[in-house]
Amino acid sequence: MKEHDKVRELLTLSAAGTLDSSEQQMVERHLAECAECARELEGWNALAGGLRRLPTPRPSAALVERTRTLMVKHLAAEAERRWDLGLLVFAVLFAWTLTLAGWPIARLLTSGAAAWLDMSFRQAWLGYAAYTAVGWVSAGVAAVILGLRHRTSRRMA
Amino acid sequence: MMWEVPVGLENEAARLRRGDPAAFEALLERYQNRLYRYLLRMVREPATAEDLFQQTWLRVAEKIRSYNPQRSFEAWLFSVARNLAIDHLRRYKPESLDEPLATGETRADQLVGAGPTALEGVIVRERSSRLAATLGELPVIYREVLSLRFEEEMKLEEIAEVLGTPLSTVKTRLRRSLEQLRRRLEARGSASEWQV
Amino acid sequence: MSRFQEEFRVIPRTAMALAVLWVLAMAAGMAYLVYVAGGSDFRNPGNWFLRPLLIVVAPLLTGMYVLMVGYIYGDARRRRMRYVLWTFLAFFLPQAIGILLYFILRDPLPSPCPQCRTAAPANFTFCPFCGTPLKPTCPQCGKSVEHNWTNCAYCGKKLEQPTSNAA
Repeated sequence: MKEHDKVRELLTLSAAGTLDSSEQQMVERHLAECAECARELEGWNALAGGLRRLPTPRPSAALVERTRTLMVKHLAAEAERRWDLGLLVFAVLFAWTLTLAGWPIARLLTSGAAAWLDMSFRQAWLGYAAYTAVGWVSAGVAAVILGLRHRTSRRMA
Repeated sequence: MMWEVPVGLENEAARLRRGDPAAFEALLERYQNRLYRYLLRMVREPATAEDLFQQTWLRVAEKIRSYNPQRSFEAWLFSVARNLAIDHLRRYKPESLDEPLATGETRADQLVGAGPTALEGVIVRERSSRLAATLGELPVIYREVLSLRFEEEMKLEEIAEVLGTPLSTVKTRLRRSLEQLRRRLEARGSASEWQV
Repeated sequence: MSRFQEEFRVIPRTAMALAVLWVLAMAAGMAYLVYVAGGSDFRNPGNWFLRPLLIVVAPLLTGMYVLMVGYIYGDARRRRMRYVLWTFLAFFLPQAIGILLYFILRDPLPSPCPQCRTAAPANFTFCPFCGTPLKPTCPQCGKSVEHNWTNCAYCGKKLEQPTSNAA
């Protein structure tokens, strides 16, 4: 009778279609001789069938439309952010390239074409360093001013 | 679906990761009904299901990178929806989570079964709304496993992924949920008239 | 059309023409410097990079600089920013720092009002010409709210879900 008990436990899962082949075979073998289990299985199958046939509630067209709009907006904002980041990275690299390439050119010009300025290496170096520093300081000042203006205009909107 | 066809899988997963809006719109169209149905089974109120529907799709757009293309897409999609639903229930309706006791029974389970023939009668004669209503009375973890197995027709492995539990737990829950559903239907059937 | 091509079209034709002219003029000037008036520095094999650097790289970099200033002019205009100021900053601040600043601080693109189709900056909540809300708003204080908020972040009023505005 032990098999009978085991099969009874498997009947629900059989109706759910989740038995593996060996379990399924054992159940089918048992059902051939046990009418009680066969009746029981019919009941479970009916329940499973009822569950499978439940009507599907549908989302309203308005909901789907709203969701689509939101999702697309979000994706567009994401793409925009990624693009902006790429642009920023490019701008930084560009600025650095200009700075680094500027030194040999400045040096060259002061020794070659602008030799009449008669600068020593040290003076040329200091001159270039000062030029770079002035650039960064003025940029910093401009950034602060513009950033403040930017923030107030954002707040007012 | 996505995890069946390798070639299509590469393209579609790649387009989704890139943020191609057309790919997402196609997804929405393909899964809108099923996702809504699942959410409605979970939270039972249409207004909440609609709200969670929106949130789920936004999450999908945000978290698409966390989807591993080697695994089933449906399992991932439904697990996103499930997490949102469980969070909502935990926050607003903690009593509905009604975890069953160790024996698998809840308080409402002291019902006497009337036998297999009565059950068949209930299924055959009643309208599906009776079945759906009884389904709605089950605890959430039973409702969801029945919905995923019979309405979404997911394999056990996928259900295990969605729920984040081992396969054996899924089988046990499936069995217990069917048993409890049957008990309640039989009790209903024997306690009231057969009209709907 | 790829994103890059789209953005490239923002550069005014004049800027593109100027960039090309400048590149050619500078390359020519550098070539003169190197081959005609050049000093001993160029013959030193240790300085092999100087010739391509001066004749090719430097003019190209400067040409790119001009193009970017042109882009900033066009882009700042379409975003309704103070484009004259920004163009000046981009041009005069050395080492492309003005360009960098622009990309950090620029406003978002204006989106057209769904009612009257005028373009308004993207951070406006209501259209300044016809008053229609451009974003979901709180029914009590009128500030713009996000779609997934349950309460208004400015006045605290409970918001009903889902937000009715199609924006």
